[in-house]
Amino acid sequence: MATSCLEPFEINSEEVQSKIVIEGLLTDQVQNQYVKISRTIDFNQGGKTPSIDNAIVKVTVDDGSVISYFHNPGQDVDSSGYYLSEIAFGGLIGSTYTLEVDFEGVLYSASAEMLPVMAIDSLSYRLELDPDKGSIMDYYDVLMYSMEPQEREDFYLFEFFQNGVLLNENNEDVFVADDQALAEEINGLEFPFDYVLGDTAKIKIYSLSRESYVFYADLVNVLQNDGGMFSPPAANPRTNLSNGALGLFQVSAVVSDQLIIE
Amino acid sequence: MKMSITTKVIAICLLLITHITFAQKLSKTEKKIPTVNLGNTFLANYDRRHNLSLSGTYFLNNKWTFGLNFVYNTGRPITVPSGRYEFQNYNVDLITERNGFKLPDFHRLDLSATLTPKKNIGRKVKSHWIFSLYNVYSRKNPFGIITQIKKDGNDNIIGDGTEKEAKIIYLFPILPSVSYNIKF
Repeated sequence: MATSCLEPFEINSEEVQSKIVIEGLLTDQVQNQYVKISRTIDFNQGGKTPSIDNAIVKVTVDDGSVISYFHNPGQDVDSSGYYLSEIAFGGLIGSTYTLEVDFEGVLYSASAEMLPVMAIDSLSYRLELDPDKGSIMDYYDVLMYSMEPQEREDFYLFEFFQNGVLLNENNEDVFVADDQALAEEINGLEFPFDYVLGDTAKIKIYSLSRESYVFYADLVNVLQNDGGMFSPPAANPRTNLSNGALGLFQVSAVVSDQLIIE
Repeated sequence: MKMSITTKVIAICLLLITHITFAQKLSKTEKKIPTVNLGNTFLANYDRRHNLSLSGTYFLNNKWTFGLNFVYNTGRPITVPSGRYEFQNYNVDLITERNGFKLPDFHRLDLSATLTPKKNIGRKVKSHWIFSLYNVYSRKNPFGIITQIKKDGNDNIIGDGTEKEAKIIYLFPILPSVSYNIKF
């Protein structure tokens, strides 16, 4: 890819109708769960995308209970478009949750089951073995150990943090795995980032439904598309949301662990 | 059959007219797949409405022969984003129509010169040189389009990092080459 040449190019698209983007996350951690609703904008426009603050949002649990969400209850300027559940609650593994967003006469909905997540046994670190990195500071690799149940097909999303900051190169990294790619005994899964002495390294693992995994896999193709050289043409990620909404309703059990390199 | 220059030009024009009239109808290739592009018809990746290919050789003398090759294709259809949106920390392209955009037309001129040394005459092992220039006027024929966060020449992000830009990828500028061939 580095050998081919690039030229700037203007995309002159006709006015395309703005679409709704729904980002919902429901975890097993007891907290006010959130749904973020915004719009798409023209490709050439910069700045934050506009948020939608007048949708009606609720989550129904398979036991019949209904939890309403309210827009920006703290009236926080940075939280426009964020809807929080009226009560703090944590989802239960095995339960199915249905999100419903009512906006401008259209009902967008999605359902997902909360699936179990693998337990993290431990983390460890070691000095990086490659002497050719050629840098003054010493870099450390952090490794994770876990047992992954093999009887069922599982999907996971990983997040890596350094001193509390989510690590993401160019905002294009997505770390998802199908457990077919993971062995039963995960013996030192290396974090895809380097750490230095004094850092706090943290990993968070989310369980994903198959639909959520497909969404993230499709998202990678849109984010990292190379114009048709080796990847298929980009298409909007497949989602569990209905009626043409973009985004995802993700229901996940979460585990995390961290260590300090000293 | 020896033809005068005028006859040659007329013959080429007639060929081009026939080609242009029929090519449009015959070569528009569309596809319709239920799970792609929301079930709507879209242009196939290889839909190239007009194709023109000219090649000729000019025999100057026993030593030099010149060649010319000219290719012209209507640009192929590609999928480009028509908008963007935020999902978590990602700045995602919004794709609407599959293959809804046509890349600029593809055209290229190649020239070659073949040198057959005089000493070849009467020898068992004959050799000749070929000097060629691929893409003589160095046209940046687009191959594809990528999108990224707006960056300047030194890879630094311009602005607050929310603006995106599109870039075309092109493969080969002018490429000279020399080859030496032996026949025995």
